Formats: sequence, structure tokens, C-alpha cells
Amino acid sequence: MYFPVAEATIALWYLIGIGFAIGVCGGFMGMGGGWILVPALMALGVRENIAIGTSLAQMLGHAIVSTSRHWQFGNVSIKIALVMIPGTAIGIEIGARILEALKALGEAHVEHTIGGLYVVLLLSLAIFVYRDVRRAWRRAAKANAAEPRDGGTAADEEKTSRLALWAQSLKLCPCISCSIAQIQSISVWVIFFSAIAAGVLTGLLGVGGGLVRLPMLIYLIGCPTTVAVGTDLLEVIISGSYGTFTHALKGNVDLLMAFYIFVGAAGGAQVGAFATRYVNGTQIRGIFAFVALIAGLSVIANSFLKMQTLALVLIVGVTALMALFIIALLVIGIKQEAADTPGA
Amino acid sequence: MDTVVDTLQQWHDHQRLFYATVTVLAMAASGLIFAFILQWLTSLAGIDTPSRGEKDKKAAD
Repeated sequence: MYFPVAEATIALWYLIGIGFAIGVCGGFMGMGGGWILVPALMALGVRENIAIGTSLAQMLGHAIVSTSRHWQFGNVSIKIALVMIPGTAIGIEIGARILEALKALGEAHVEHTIGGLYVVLLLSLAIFVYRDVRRAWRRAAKANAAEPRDGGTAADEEKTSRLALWAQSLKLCPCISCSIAQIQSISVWVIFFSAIAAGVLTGLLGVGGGLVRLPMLIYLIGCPTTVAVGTDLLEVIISGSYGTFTHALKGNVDLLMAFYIFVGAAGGAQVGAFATRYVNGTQIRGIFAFVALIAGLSVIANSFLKMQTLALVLIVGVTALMALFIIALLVIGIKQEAADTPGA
Repeated sequence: MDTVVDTLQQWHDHQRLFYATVTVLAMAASGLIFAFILQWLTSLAGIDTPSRGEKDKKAAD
């Protein structure tokens, strides 16, 4: 089908298929999926500005679908999201201004600085989260060896990080409590300044919030992983609305293309969100660490080695694999639940 | 279909503010409609979607 705004001819099955895979990963890990979709569209001849704008538009639609499902599961903390929104907006503005200042120094300078920062951030996140997941698995193995359980493992019980415990101990007024996130008291300023920090990285690196906000909500604020996913998706709706509007004003959104991607993503988002019911937080964080690692490697391939095809294959291939893996987790979970149900 | 494509193209080229507003509203409305339809379908299929409180209560039981 020909898309006149994007000036490109793309098969509908490709748009719906890539949308579905992004939706599955997004619903599972609380991501908008811009970092996957933008290079995937550019590979088909869509200009970068149109790819970014269209990606934001579909993100808005599929984040609404995912958030509504997570809302039903009790995974969305409105209180935390409301405090984060102004912080995120301020942070994005600061990040965008730093980017403009860097651009004044020269385009090549910017590409390497941003690329380097992006790689360091993604790889550090991957290593940090992987180490945490490994610790949780060891704890679970020890606990199970000491006291074997019938169903589930000790990894189901999420441990609040030391950093989050320290952040929650800061009594800077006003403080809020959040029963959904199982936080007894946390200063509004901690959430606000964390959101600013995540926003700066979002504005500077041009990535959606998921990659930065999800670990921040887990390790700094102290949210359980599933609540972090749901709350992050609510934030994606806000940033997606603003981003879609400003990009559409500049003529960067192909509405029809965004709609077809959204159709796939909406279906996938349901699968991803449902899968979070059948896995524990450690498994979600483990998959997140792997995705962050691959994202980092794809940036190295794209920005430093100038191997765009390899970067695209890495991103699209891993997204498709992750989507299949998450679907498999969902199917196994449903079968196990059916077997555990008395009288089944 | 061609009429829709032509109309969107016209708005995109000549009425940018209107196009931007329509884009945001269309995607938000699509999201809400899909969420509603999928919620209806899951309840029709008899898949329960317990809240966190209910889940915790079940686990405690």
C-alpha cells in the first residue's frame, strides 16, 4: 500500500506484524517501542522524521490499550504517575536544550557523544539488571533448597533495592504513600527529581521513556516490577500525546501508517499485558536486561561500525524472538493455572 | 479508501493544526475503542482479570 505522507509503499502485513511484536514487548515491559520501530521503518525508505512521528502516534494508541489492561490488573499507580509527569516534561526540555548546545559544537561531535552515552547507558543498565536478576535467582534457589514449595518460587517475592530503601527513608516534605506500589512513604521530591533525570536522558538521547523509566521506578522509587510496567505505560500515554501533536504539526506523522501499526500493536499489547500475570518480576527484569543489551549492541553497530543492516537485523530479530518467548510464557502460565485449579 | 487518503493528505498539506488535532484524537479514540472491545471480548470469553487486592487475597487463602 502507498502512504502519501511518508512517500513510501509498504506491505500491510509487515506493518501489522512489526506492530504486533512491538505490542507484545511493550505490554510486557512497559515500553513504547520507538527504538525498534524507527529503524524498522527507515529500512523501508521512510524518512527519519516521519518514522519518529509515526512511531509516537502508534505508541499513543497502543499505550492506552496496554494501560487499560494493566489498570484492571491493579498495576497502575496514578499518584506516582501524576508526580512524574511535570518532572518528565521539565527533564525532556532540559535534555533537548543540552542536545541543541551540543549541536552547536558540530554534527559529528553530537553523533559520537550521543551514541557513546546511549551505549554506556544501555550496557550499564543491562549489566546492573542482570546482576540483580542473578542475585534473585540465587536467593530463590537457596530458599527453595531450605524449604521446598509446591507452587512458585521465592523469586516471586520481590526485594526492594537498597537504593530504593534509602530513597524512601528521605523524609523531605511532602511525602506520599502508595498502596498499589506497596510504598509506605516516599518524598514527592524523590519521584519528581528522578523523573527529571529520566526526562533529561529521554530528551538528550531521543528514546522513549521505557528503557530509562522502568529501571528507575523499580530500583530508585521501589515499585514492584509489574506496577512499574503499568505506571510507565501511563507515562507513555502523556509523552506520546505531546510528541504526536508536535510532530504532526511539523508534518511528521503518517496517520494511516500509524493506524495499521497500532492495529497489530493493540493485539500484541493484550498478549504482553496478560503474560505479566503468569511470570514474576525477576523474569520480566531478566528479559529487560537482555533487550537492553541487544539495543546497546545495535547502537554500536549502527553509530560506530556503520553497519545499518546488522543493527536492523539485531533489533527486529530480537523483538520477534522476544515476542515469541513472551507468548510461550503466557501459554505455559495458562496451562499451569488450569492444571493447578481444583476440579480442572 | 482513496477518499480518506486524499482528505488526510489535504489536511496534512494545508491545515496542519487541524491535522495534528485529528491525529491525536484519532489515535486516542482508536486506543480507547480497542481497549473497550478487547475488554468486552475477554469478559465474553470468561477470562477473569482480578485486581491486585483480589490476587493477594487468593494467594493468602
